[in-house]
Amino acid sequence: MFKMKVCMLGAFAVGKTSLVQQYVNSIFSEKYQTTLGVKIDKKSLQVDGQQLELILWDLAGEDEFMEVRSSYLRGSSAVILVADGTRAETLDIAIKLKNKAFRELGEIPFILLINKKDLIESWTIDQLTLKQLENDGWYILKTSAKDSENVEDAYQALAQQLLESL
Amino acid sequence: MKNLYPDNVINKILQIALETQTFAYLAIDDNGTLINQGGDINALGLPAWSLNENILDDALFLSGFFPMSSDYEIIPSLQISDEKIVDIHLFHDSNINWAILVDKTSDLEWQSQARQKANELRLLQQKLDTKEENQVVTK
Repeated sequence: MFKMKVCMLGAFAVGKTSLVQQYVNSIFSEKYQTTLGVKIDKKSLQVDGQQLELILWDLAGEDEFMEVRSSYLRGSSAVILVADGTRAETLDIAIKLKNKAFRELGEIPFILLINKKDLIESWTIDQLTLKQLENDGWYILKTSAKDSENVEDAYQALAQQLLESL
Repeated sequence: MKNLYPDNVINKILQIALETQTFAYLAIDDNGTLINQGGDINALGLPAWSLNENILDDALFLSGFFPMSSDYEIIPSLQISDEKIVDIHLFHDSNINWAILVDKTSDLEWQSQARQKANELRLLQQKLDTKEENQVVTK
């Protein structure tokens, strides 16, 4: 079985922990609980008949006061970037973090999740930028950690990319 | 750094640290086999690993760091269980990989609460800003 370390990266309160908890434990909490440092979870899945174990490093959100520590990224095989559809500025942070991850780890597989699809009527995220990113080859999924929409698909898509990169 | 202090002061600092903080250590070979462990393993919420057991599957915090490619790494503020947050210092010495875990739970408790409040306020501020922008556009 392949074991892969995957880091969840994004601004604070975009739903990184909720996505992991929904995916690993099928639970969602309405209450926002900030992550300090890092929490680690794991989940096995199957892609094209291959068994894979994702070791998910859920990192504290980046903001102007706290940068993601490079040591957390060490040995990571892929990253999941998360932005909050209702907060346009979180997309800029996700893009910045992708660049940081590439600097530290080289060009590894990644996907971008625009989370909080359940609040899509309040989205402020720039659709044009998303389109440009897709044109640049970014794989983007709109997810809802609350309703679990596209959550499983997101990890499955990343796992597929991971296997193809081996 | 060590030269800044005479030996008796260093010994006292060590004694104070050991008496006031909770530590645990693991010694692991390059294959991931646990060859020694000690300190307050239970207090830090580590599983009861046996010597000669391969712990790489269970010790998720080692993922990405093993085998060690540098002499020293630190994993700060790792939530190792529901109740415990530790700093993990990894180093390589005499062909053995060592992990020293330092309990940081009480140090980080206030920080966690402060960050929670700060983030809640910032989310609120961002919501108000967006609402204001929308009102300006509507007018």
